[in-house]
Amino acid sequence: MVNLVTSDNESFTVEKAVASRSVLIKNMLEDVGESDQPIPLPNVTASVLKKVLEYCDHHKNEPMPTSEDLAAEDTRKRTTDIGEWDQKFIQVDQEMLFEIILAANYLDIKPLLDVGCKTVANMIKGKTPEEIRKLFNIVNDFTPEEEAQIKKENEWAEDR
Amino acid sequence: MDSANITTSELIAQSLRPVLQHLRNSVDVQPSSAVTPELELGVRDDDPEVAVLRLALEVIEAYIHKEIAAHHQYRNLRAPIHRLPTEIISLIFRFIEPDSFRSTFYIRERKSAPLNISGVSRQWRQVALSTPRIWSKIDMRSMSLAALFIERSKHAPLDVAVDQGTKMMALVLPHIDRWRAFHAMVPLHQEAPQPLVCAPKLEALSIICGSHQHSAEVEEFIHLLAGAASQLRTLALEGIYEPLQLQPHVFASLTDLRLARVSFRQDAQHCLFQILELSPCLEELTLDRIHINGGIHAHDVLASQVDLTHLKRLVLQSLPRFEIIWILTRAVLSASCRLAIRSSRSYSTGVENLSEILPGDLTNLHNVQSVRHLLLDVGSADKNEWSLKGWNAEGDTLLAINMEGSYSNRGGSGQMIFIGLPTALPLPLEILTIASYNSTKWSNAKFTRTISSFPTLKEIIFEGCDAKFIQTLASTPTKPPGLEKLTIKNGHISEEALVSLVLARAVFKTRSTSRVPLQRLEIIECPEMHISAATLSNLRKHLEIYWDGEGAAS
Repeated sequence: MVNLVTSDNESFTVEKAVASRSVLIKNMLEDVGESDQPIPLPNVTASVLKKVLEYCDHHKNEPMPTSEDLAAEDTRKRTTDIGEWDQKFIQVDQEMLFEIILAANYLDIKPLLDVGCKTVANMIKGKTPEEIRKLFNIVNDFTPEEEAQIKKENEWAEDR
Repeated sequence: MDSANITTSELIAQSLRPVLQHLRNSVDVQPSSAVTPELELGVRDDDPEVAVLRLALEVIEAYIHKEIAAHHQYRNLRAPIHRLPTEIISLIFRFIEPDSFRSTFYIRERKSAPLNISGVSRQWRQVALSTPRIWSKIDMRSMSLAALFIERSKHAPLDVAVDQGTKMMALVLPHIDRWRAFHAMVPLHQEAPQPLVCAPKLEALSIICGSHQHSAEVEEFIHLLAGAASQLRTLALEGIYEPLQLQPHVFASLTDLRLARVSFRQDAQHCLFQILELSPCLEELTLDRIHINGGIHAHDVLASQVDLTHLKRLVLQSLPRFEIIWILTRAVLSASCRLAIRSSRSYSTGVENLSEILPGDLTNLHNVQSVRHLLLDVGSADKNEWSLKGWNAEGDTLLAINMEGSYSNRGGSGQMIFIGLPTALPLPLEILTIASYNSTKWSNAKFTRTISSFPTLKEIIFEGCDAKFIQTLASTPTKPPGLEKLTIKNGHISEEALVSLVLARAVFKTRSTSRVPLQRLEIIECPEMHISAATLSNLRKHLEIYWDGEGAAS
């Protein structure tokens, strides 16, 4: 079993197979060897780690992506399909979604990072800039010059 | 002057004085020679002081806009999404533009995703401009836009689609070493520059041939683009009127092959299977409106089999019935291959019996053999549409037939398809979903006989079906004998009939080893159904009941 300590000082004791879905933790365990020492995770809060561990537990028996898989994915077959369980898992509010993405990035859990990014990508798809701004509470911060350039590009899209 | 009593206007005047003085000293203001509205009106506006004030206005305006933008930029930093580092935003952007070649081939479906995301905020624009890959699918809606995408894609591979115009080809041809996907209508315009070298990174090629295009020209074009060391994974050919004699290396790495409106001579029909044999990596095959001149003879149907066990998906679209059965008789498909048969009204004479398209011997169709849950939606008789779906025990879709066609036997096709199921698909089904089976003219006896032909059924789902067919389960309570679960969705059955059904199915004294009592009943989306609380309570002594309208009823 592995003991993980979050930034808000909460401890989680989990199976090694679950914790090792994180390449960061897996490497730490390999470096330290057999030890009862808790692993501090200063960038992850308890509420987020709980969700991340739920994901790791569900996928604990799946093969870890190899470097070849990652390279192949980088060049082709980048789809936005998300598995059924993952879709339900990631149905959280925006705040938690971004926290999960940040945690997956920090803990180096590539499949979870992809699920999070695909979810955000699917939220963006097919929306106009104004709709995207509204969705993510962003304001238009372009200068008039930048605005003019964007307008020109959009006119090109209409210009057949 | 007391600062507390000072007006905004006076404050502006005070602040502007040094600004204006600075402009007077530092800028050599010349009267404008341009034609101004004042000049047009005959009023000369050559006062240097007015020019200074105009300049001051421009400077102040630019300053205010910059401040507003900076304020908004600061405000954006507090938006939750801006907590994500730029490399993650970049990754998200790459997921927005799917890596599917189909979106390259279907230009009209193209959406300006890169334009939209680069027009959201300054940060997003910076990230978008530094993610060349999202600009890879060249937006060909205008020359200016295409040039912009080519420039922003930097060295990333390009997905290019050109029509028969000359200018677009001239724009993309210098980047042929970056082409990853190419879609074109051939022959290209006579004045359009022609490719003279291969596209070394080409993975996907889609060719639409103009009418009466000679296959030799298409072959030459494909061979040139694909080169000797072809890495083609996707090949889509449409509108070819003679069999293609492509060199084997073109097919060597293919994973996706789509042949549409391709005509094979009768003596060259084996060409199709030769192509498939040359494509050992093929995962997806679509045959759309294939025409075999002179039809297919009986001895062809009995010809040798073709191993297609590497296919993950086989799509037969708008093919005549005899071609579907000809292909399925010869093909050997794996248990996980998804078979889709589609027919649109324009290309079909209609299928009234599954035996017209499915071979009598399913031995080689391991996917069809693995089906355990079958859904037949007989559609509405007036539209003459029906669909059949099949899943394996794990819930993977293995069979999807969607038919639209004109039928000689108007309104009767649904029943014919249903009663033909046991002959065409003699499978050990566990779940059967029957949808829209609601013509009261259809026979109860035939319905019962069909259901009885699947003795392994554990679950039946009636969706939008007439009550008389649901009630047959009460009149023949031993068929199928292992029925454990029944679902009635979007339908209606009287309370009395429901009680009879439950008593017949769930309550019996003499039990044979094979006969199983009904254990669960689900009633979903049936607003017209009324069951009293007392009846419900009594029935629950014999089986579980889930009724989504229960709360509303009480």
